[in-house]
Amino acid sequence: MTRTRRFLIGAAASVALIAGGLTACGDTGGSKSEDVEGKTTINWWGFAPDTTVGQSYIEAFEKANPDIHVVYKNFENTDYAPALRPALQSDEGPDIFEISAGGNVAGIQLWTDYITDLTSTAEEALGADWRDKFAPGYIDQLTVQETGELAALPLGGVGAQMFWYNKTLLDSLGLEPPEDYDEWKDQCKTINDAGFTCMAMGAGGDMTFGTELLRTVTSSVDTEYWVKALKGEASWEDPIFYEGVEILRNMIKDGIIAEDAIGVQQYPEANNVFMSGQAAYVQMGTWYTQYGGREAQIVAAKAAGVADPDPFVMMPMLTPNLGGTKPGMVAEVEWGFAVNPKSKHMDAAKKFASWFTTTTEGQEVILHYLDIGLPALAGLAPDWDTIDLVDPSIQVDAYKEMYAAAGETAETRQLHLSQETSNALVVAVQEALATNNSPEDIAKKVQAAAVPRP
Amino acid sequence: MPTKTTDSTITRGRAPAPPKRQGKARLKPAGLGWILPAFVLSVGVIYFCIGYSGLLSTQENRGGTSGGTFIGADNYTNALTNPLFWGAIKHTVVFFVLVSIVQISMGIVFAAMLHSKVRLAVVYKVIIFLPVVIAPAIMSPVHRRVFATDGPLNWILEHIGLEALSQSWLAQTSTSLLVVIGVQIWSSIGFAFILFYASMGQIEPEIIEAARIDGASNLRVLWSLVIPSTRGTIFALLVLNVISSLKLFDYPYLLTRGGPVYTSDFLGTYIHREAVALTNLGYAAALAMLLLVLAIGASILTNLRARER
Repeated sequence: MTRTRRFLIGAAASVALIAGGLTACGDTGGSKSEDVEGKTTINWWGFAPDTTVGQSYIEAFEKANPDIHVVYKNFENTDYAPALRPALQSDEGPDIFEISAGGNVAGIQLWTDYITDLTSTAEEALGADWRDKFAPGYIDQLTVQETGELAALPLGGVGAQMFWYNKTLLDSLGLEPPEDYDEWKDQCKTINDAGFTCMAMGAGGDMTFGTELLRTVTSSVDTEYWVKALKGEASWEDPIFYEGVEILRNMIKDGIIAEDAIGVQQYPEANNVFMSGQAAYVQMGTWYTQYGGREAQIVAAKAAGVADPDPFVMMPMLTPNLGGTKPGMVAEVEWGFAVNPKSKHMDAAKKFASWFTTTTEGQEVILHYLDIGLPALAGLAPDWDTIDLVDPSIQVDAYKEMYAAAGETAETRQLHLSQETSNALVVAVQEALATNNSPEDIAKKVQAAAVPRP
Repeated sequence: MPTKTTDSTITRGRAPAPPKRQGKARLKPAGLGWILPAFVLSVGVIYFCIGYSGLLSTQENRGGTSGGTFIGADNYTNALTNPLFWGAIKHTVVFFVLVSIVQISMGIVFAAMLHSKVRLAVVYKVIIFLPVVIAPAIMSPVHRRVFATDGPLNWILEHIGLEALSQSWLAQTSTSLLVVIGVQIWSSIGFAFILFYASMGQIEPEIIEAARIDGASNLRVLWSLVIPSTRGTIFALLVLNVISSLKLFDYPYLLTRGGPVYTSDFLGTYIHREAVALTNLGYAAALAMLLLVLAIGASILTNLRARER
């Protein structure tokens, strides 16, 4: 064998090894996975719902659309955008992904380069007056303001600025939900002395849940201030914000928030504390309604490490008077289905997005699992008779009241929240809870870093 | 004719080389083919990426399809005037100093102890070395639990009368960096131990015996004979620690996410946050280039210092 020939064989073998390796790496592309013969397979990536609920959605969809097979990939909130961005830039991204009104998880402003205008899909499904058939505001919130393109079809709404409590635990301690700060503080002493956590909270890491509590307490001082600040119509260097920071700080000193809130993250740690029955309260929005159901709560409790869960009665609580007034809920579109313009199965992807968002049948499936309890199509509501709650005699009315409060509010949740402001507020919460920095100093940094989103 | 110019250098002419040399020479072209993967990976991927990062660092680039805008050295100026950058550098220096001191001193102590006649020495060696081979991703949830407010560390402190020391280790700006350092020390002592153990095995027993005959105590032998004999290992560990401190990402990300309030932030977590969470690609690339310069500079300095010695 000549020297040249040996060199060529070596080179060819090396190239083959590299090519083989790269091929192996690259073969996990979204649209190629889990194909089913005779069906069009589409891939859906999202930060919600949980995989089990998502699978239930898919089963219902596939039953109604047997020619389409759907594969769902669920991400933690903080992993969603980092995973989705390169996927959408490639040719192997998901066919369907989720977009929300704002914020740094799935906010519409992050994805304007990667959308398909779904206006014609909506019009085809609902007629010329399609906009009027959706709940007020949802379509605007998922429309790219600069171009008028409909980035996603709304699945439903979300309400927040509220709490959930473990009624079974409160009953065992002879307690009722508090009306104001002092009552809550006294109650938390009883709860903490009994060996439980008063309010499970995770403000560590990049998650934004801590900022929702800062917003809630600030809105207890002035109900209109927060959105004005997000829009740039008010400064963060404002006595209202200072007071909000002080209240938040006092909540940890007074034992309302767990001492280690900064050291843990909302998901999974704080969530697990509440779902395992170790905490009386947690701040979450309407998406938490799903865990009021027996089966969903058992699954969540097992995931939280409880071997043999005994479901507790989970009840919503509107915000007590924490700083002078009781702020109402905030609400907006939860998220919508967007279609990847590079999808190789555009028709199937649009059908999937359209079926859940523009048909009564699809919306009823969504409402049944309570991950989203506010429908996108006006006039629908969960069918409580078919939902297995732990104690429907008290839960149903409370849930209805919660949804009514969310439906009535005009104040949005993340619509005006830019990525920069969101990150600045995450750090502000950590500074409030973990340092002695003055509220003025904290506000100054937020003001410097925030980018208004009118 | 091959001309032998020195003991180790050969220049080749047309005539065949001596058989031994000829064999090696004939292998070279074919061997080039076999090293192609490494060549392609290192030149084609690593150095291309460094070059591309350099280009990216001169742009305002937020990802997406629109590409970047050339802004010159603005990203570098912003980085060098940003307190977060200097905070990360400060944490890196503190981390390097503390980890190096404890890792090297404990590595020497363990190696010296296990060179004496200790029962069950193999078991001790395994116990000391085991943390080195466990991935940070596996251990970090355990460490988070250990340092939790209601975790085992505080439980132990409370049960041995040190309740005053019990605290929220991960939730405080004053302790989060110490947790990262402590966990890194735990995971890296075994590595230092194994190097020192091998290094001490090279010391002639006669030298130590002579010192003992001259009346040297154990500590004196350790200080005056053993440690100077392992100087090369110490410098190797320092170089490795400089590089690993600058590149540190796994433990701070997995334990504290660089928080709270950036108090356990390192260049690795800072770059990751800017590049991935904030999609500030140009700025992240500038930070990466600064990291590269620091890593190369620190390695050169440490090596020069080692040579001087």
